Amino acid sequence: MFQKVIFTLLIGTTFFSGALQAQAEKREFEKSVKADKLPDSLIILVNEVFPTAKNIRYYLESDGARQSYEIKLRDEGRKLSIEFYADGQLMDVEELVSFKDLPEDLNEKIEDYFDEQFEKFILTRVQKQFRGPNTKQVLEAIKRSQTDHLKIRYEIEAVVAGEDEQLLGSYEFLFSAEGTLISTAQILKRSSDNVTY
Amino acid sequence: MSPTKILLAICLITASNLWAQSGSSLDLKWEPKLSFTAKLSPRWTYNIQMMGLQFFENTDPLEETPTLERIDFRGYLSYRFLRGAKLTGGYMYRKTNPLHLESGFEHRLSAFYSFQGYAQAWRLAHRFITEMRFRPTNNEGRLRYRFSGDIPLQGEKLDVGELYFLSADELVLSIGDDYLLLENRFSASLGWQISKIFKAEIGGEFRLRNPQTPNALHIVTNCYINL
Repeated sequence: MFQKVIFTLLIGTTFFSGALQAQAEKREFEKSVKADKLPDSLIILVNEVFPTAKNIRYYLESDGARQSYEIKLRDEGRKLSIEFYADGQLMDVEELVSFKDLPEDLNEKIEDYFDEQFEKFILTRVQKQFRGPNTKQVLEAIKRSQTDHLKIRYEIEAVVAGEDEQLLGSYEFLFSAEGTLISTAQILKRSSDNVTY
Repeated sequence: MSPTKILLAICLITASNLWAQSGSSLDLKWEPKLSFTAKLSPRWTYNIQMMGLQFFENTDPLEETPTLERIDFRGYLSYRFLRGAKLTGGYMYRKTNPLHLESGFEHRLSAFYSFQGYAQAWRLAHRFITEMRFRPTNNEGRLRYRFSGDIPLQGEKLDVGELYFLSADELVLSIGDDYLLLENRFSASLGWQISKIFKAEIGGEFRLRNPQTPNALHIVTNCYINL
């Protein structure tokens, strides 16, 4: 009897979840791949600009509508993430930085924003984002740390809580170099039921 | 040395001590679990579970099917703090030997504190439990600590359709009127994120016990629904 109940529940939930999956039109994914799954031109370019890079990892990503490539590496102590469109054009380069390393006025402006908008907040990750029209020039500028001419933005991940309880959660905030908020997006984390209960 | 490394070292030292003391007998059992979790609000979550434990063989000549040792029904309510730590309270009702005329039961009250962090793609979780078991024969208090980690097997983010690996080690200290027993539970599982709300795991949990109690290997099959 007990086995029958378990079996029925397992089969039932499997079909239920399968039906839900089939309904999902967009399939987002991020997959770790070997270097040969990316265009040779991108690998050659990154190796040329960052010849001493370590811990290089390659990813295929899709937001459901379009595919992109991402290369993550460590170069002279810096953690970089280089993202390309499917046609090989540079999307952006992100560098993991510390919030206290941001320019002082920008630092204050961003902190003021969080103070005004939320009751409590914890900044969990800060990335400096670089963009430019020419892929090779952008990468070389980052390598030389001469990035003043590039378009710079800051992507900040934070856990926030507002007076409205619905606001509680992890979000990604994109700020311009002047400290103006450009966009926000909620970060959906893996469910923790299997490590909690 | 970080707290995580210290706690992991405690688990390993305890496991090796128990291994040296333990007997050689081993019980092989199947432990299926069905878990349902839903949010009441961003801070409050509830979880209900049904679990079973049965031998792979018939240990009782009066039974025709493999012996069913117990069935558990559990319910938990969790409160989430800003940093993601959770405080959980819960109740469990256990029916032992449910297919026997002389079946038993247990009521259990538990309180958890759990939190987690990330090391690249690894999610590392800590869970502390204090619980009280009420049984017709005796009552028992227990203190438990579990360190667990899971990692997607393709990339850093767990996507729908992707497999993941989960491993955990738990120390369980049982405190009775005239005894103190320590147990180490090590588990390793393979999980599959079947859809956004549903995942399944299959794996093994090895329970290393004191010399008086046989060690046990549980084949675990877990199904999680999370709305």
